[in-house]
Amino acid sequence: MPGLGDLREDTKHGRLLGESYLRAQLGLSLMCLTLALLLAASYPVLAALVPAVRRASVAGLPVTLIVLGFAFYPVLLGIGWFYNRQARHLEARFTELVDPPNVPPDA
Amino acid sequence: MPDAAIGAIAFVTLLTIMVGARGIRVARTTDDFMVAARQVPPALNAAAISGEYLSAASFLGIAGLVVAQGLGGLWYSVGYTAGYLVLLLLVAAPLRRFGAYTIPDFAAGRLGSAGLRQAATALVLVIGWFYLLPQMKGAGITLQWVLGTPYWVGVVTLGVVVSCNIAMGGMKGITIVQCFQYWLKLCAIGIPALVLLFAAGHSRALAPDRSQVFTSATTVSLPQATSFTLRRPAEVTVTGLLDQRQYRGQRTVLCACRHSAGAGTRLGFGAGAPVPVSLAMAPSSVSPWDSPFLTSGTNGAHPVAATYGVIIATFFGAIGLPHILVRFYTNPDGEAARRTTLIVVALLSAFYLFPAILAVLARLHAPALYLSADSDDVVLALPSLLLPGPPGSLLAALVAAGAFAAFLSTSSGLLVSVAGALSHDLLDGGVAAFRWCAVLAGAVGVAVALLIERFSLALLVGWAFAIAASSFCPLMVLGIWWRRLTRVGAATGLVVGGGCCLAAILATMFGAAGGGWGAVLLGQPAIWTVPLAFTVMVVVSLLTQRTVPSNVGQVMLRMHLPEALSRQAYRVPLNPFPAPPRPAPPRPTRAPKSGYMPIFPVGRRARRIIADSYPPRFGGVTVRNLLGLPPEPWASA
Repeated sequence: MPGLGDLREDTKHGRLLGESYLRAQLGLSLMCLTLALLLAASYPVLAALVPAVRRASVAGLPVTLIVLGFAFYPVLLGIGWFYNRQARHLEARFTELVDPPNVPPDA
Repeated sequence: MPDAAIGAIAFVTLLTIMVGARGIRVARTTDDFMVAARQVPPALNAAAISGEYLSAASFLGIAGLVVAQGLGGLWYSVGYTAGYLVLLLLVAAPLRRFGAYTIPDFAAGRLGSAGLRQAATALVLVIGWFYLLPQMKGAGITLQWVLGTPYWVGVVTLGVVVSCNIAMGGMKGITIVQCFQYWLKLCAIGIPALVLLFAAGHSRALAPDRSQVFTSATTVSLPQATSFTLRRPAEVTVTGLLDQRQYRGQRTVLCACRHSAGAGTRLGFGAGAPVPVSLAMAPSSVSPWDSPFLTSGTNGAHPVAATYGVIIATFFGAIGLPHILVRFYTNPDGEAARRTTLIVVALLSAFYLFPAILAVLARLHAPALYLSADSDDVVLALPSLLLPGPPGSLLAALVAAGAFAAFLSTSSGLLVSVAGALSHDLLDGGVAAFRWCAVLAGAVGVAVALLIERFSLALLVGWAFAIAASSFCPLMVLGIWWRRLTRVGAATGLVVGGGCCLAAILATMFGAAGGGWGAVLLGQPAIWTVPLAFTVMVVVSLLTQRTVPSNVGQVMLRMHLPEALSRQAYRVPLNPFPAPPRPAPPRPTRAPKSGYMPIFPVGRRARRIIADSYPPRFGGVTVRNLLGLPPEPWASA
């Protein structure tokens, strides 16, 4: 099982291990980024294609004000919270993989 | 009426100067030790980052833009917040683990090239100055509104206060002060917004005025010469110059056509009269005010594309701002950096609820505000318009104080970065050079700010973000995530992306943009310069693969591994500027007389802690200089 030593000595196994960890972190970041960008980018398109959206109002307030003024922020926070949790998770799993907690000798 | 506002502004300014000049003693007890131990708790650090980040554009500009152009202006507030989410996703933790203080340091440390450092330094200057201009403009119009002084008085006042303050050694990385600034700004915009919303009194106070008629008899005063159109004929009481005729309170019927009014003209509309449409903001007459698109800087052409330009610039621009990076170093580790950034997103979200409320209230209840050509003072003017008498004056004073806090904190952070880049990276000087550079940078900022009065605050800050997004953002993102980046590729991308973006913006400022697609591509250049910069960096790097640093795999991994693991896996800590082995120099008990002024009058043990835990350079000034210690013996060798 490749471990800390392989990372330290930069062996072939260590390099593979490191690259897979980097790819996992990058995948997580890109997924969250794509989600945020898609959500933001879809509103202008939607409003341009369906003019009814920008004329609509909810509880007397125009939809654009609700979306841009209030609704976007909880979404951004939610994505950030999810990302932080998953990134911490990935780090913990990688740590466990390369540096497993000591197993008692008789187990 | 303005007495309270004058008092409030003077109070905030004096407080800042006093904290700058004497507050080192305040800092000694809390901040210095925490920074030295890098144990600033995330909540405190996040408030400090937000305090430095929320600038004139956030405080005055967004509301002004929304009033003038419609709800699409809110894309700026969404983008400024989302910029920190993108920063969290792509750079926060790795950057903290890398340990660079400034973007030029990161570029030089990751790719090992002096030429790249020079290119990055030049861009720090461009972005820093661009960002400084709207702060100065904000100060100009705030003092104009409060005291009635000419525009230049406010600009010069802010420039002098901030540069002298920094030259004297204040406002440097004082976390507590920036944290206080955030809460001051939040209160200064939140309390007036909520009070005015309550005073406006009915649940439909935020509904849009699609009918565009005055609901009650209203007198509109035009501070500047303006032209406007009416959609229906209306009977109006006119005082002043209108359509080349002088009126003295006569009633006259205006046709449904274009009219031009002189400065100081007052128009009295009856209930049910149509609200005039200002031609100074042509876009608002093209698109209705609840349109979700933005047309600032593009003469109203292709609103969807222009909106995407703003989205790209603001989402990716925060990564490349030169004055924010330093603050990330006060987090104890990468995990704390992530937590801090998430709290920043929350704090910014809370703040940005209020400019939207104020803008909608202004649009509905104070139509005079959006008839004047420059709507950036909406937030300042609104309280006294909606709430006559002492309560309105008090709220106005609070707003003015908050606005000045915004200018002071942001421009201080920027000026430290600009002066640091000038003195440290270009001139290679010490504390004295840093002081002169602070004064010089402030003077240049003032001189340019006097010329840009006609551009809206949100637009100017948006342009600074566009330059950052098309130069530093690709450098940081690719530097952190792509091992095949080379120094030639990075330098070419910086020059091409930043250069194209700057050229497009200057073309727009000098009025070369025209209309149609040209106006969009030049006025909101991020839509093409950001992809261009990424492409150039990738392509040129692929062509110069021989110059990839040989240890790049290890450097990459150490940026991304949690600290506990990298400490075990790598015995040598990751530091782009490794301190040479320390030969235990004989430590003089007192600072030498000439050249090194002890700015931090702290005890010997504290000095040792701080000097040991800072990396050698900090914002262009060595920490040893700040502490009054002699230069380390190897520094001169």
